[in-house]
Amino acid sequence: MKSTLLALKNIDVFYGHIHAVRRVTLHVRQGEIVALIGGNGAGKTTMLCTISGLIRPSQGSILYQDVEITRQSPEAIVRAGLSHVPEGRLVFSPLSVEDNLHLGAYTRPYFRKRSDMLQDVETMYAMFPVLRERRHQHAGTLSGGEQQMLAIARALMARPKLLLLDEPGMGLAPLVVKDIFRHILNLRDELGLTVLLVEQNARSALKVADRGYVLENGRILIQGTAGELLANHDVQRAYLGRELDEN
Amino acid sequence: MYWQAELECMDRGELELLQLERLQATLNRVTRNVPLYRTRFSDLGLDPYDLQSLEDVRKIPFTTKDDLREHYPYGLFAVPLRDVVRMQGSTSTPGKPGVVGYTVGDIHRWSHLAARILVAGGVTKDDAVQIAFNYGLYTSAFGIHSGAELLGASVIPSSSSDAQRQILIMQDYRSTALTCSPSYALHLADTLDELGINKTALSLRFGLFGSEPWTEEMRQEIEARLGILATDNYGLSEITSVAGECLQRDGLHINEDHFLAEIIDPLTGQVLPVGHKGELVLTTLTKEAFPLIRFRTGDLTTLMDSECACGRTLRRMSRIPGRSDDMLIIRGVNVFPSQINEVIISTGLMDPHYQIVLDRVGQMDRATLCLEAPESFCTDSIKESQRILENVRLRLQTALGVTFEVRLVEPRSIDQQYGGRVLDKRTLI
Repeated sequence: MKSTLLALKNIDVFYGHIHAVRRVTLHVRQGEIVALIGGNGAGKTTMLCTISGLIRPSQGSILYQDVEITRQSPEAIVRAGLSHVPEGRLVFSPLSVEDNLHLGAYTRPYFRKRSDMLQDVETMYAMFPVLRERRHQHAGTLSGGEQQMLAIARALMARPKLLLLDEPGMGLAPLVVKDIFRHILNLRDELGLTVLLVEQNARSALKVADRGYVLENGRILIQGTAGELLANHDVQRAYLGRELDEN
Repeated sequence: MYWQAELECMDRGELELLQLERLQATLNRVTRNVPLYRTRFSDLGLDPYDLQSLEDVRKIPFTTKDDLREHYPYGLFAVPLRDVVRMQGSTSTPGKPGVVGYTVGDIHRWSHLAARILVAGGVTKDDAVQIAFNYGLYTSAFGIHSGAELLGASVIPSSSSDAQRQILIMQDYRSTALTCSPSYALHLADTLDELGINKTALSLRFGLFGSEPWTEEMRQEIEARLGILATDNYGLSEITSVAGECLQRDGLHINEDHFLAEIIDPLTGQVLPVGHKGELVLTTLTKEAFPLIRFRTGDLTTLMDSECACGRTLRRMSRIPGRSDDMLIIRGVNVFPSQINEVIISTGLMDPHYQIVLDRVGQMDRATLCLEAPESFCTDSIKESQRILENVRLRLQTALGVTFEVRLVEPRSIDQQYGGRVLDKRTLI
């Protein structure tokens, strides 16, 4: 079995008095795509922000490659190999597509070796051809799907081992969502990337994921392989929008 | 050979993290969905939130067979009935048997666990597995059945047909693996002898036996007389396939990624350290329809921590030498003395004095009910008393699924002091 890349143990997160995440324990193995699903306010985004160091948990530990990263700064965590693609893409709108990609390589220690970085930009263009077409355009002028691809590509410029993806399909047309998820699958299959993704669109997420966790009110209620979750009637009723009586 | 090598040979640290993750999710689910656990936790001021480590499970009270009986039939289900695809009886509850439900996912996981046990016992997809367990409400013939199908073996559900027929099937279908209770395996060996068939005429290679305690001597006898390699496995309908021996045959590997096992002192309820003999307590980690938290199995065993040469990292438990309660296992069927009492009273006998004598004829269990003749019997005709005995026998058969020999003995001839109501002459070990 592939080794555990990321392990969270008993994570608790508070926003003031609001207990957003309660005793969450989960793990992600090397090369896995793991989906965190759940309704609005279940604590999914909070989980990702906690892993990437943007929010401090009040309790618990986060181990990345067996090293504790719970109290590390977000920059250090990115350097360690975790890149976070935030919800709503958040590309730098006034900058060109290419500049966005360059900024993604900001933390790389060999930043000064420009040729290396340019090579990676080429790799991104090969993977997302549409970005090459738009390389000189302002990022803000891209469509939603294109911005999502740019956000992912930008995160990949840091050469992460683990990609944290927050709602990659949000606000996008179903066909575009499908395309994004196809890309996510490619990232794993071709680059050997490990992906932890948060998604409200549980069905699309579970179709590409190996395993999943269902969060409800900050607690993990169900965990299992993607197949098990897709077959679980609780998950079907609550998150896959399917009434069982229909079939 | 492994069925799920990655899980069966998992690093212990990762396994414990997985157990914790699954335990927390299970507790969150039962607190939300099962009233018994919700009220029990809130009465004690417990919240799944208080559980930070596997050891913390000790804060939670046990679930007992009485709980199963009190919440009969569906009170402990954690999913709506429409999500349940199978129901089976729980035999280890005295009185009314409990009901256990399984979702599609539960059956799927159960099949994998049964496949693990089959593979650990030497079975491969090329084997023809004869399943001589009764296919009914109270058995897990179904578990081993779906496990064998998942493995890709050829399944022969010979169920509980008579021994001669089993042997006919065994010969003609060329069964290579046999699963049944160990005493039935010996009964089959006896039948072979009676029929004058040599074991070499069979294609049998492996035997996987369970559902009742058995000894190393029985194992040797089964192996010698059927010409097979015999392994032990352990399961309960409440929990599914818990553990099975590998070919090292030194303890049964517990499917720890699905069940959390503890050993307790049956009297004090204190958790005992590894290596101490006590009652096995199981918590399900992945069951959806019928999760059980700290379920007291009533079976006595010891956890073994040492490494196993087979490479599995799953901890082992010693073979079950007995029970911590008064439950009797007669020919693989679980029977409580209280059930027998109820049946006898239901026949209209007032204040019956009786003794149940269990012994073995060859290797088969024999159950005899010695009933003291009531004073009124003395004057009655033999015909009348035979009618009453037949009535008792039939009722016991219907209610318990076990055939008793019923004998009338002299009034006041039973010494209740000696052996009490149950005299178990069957010797184990």
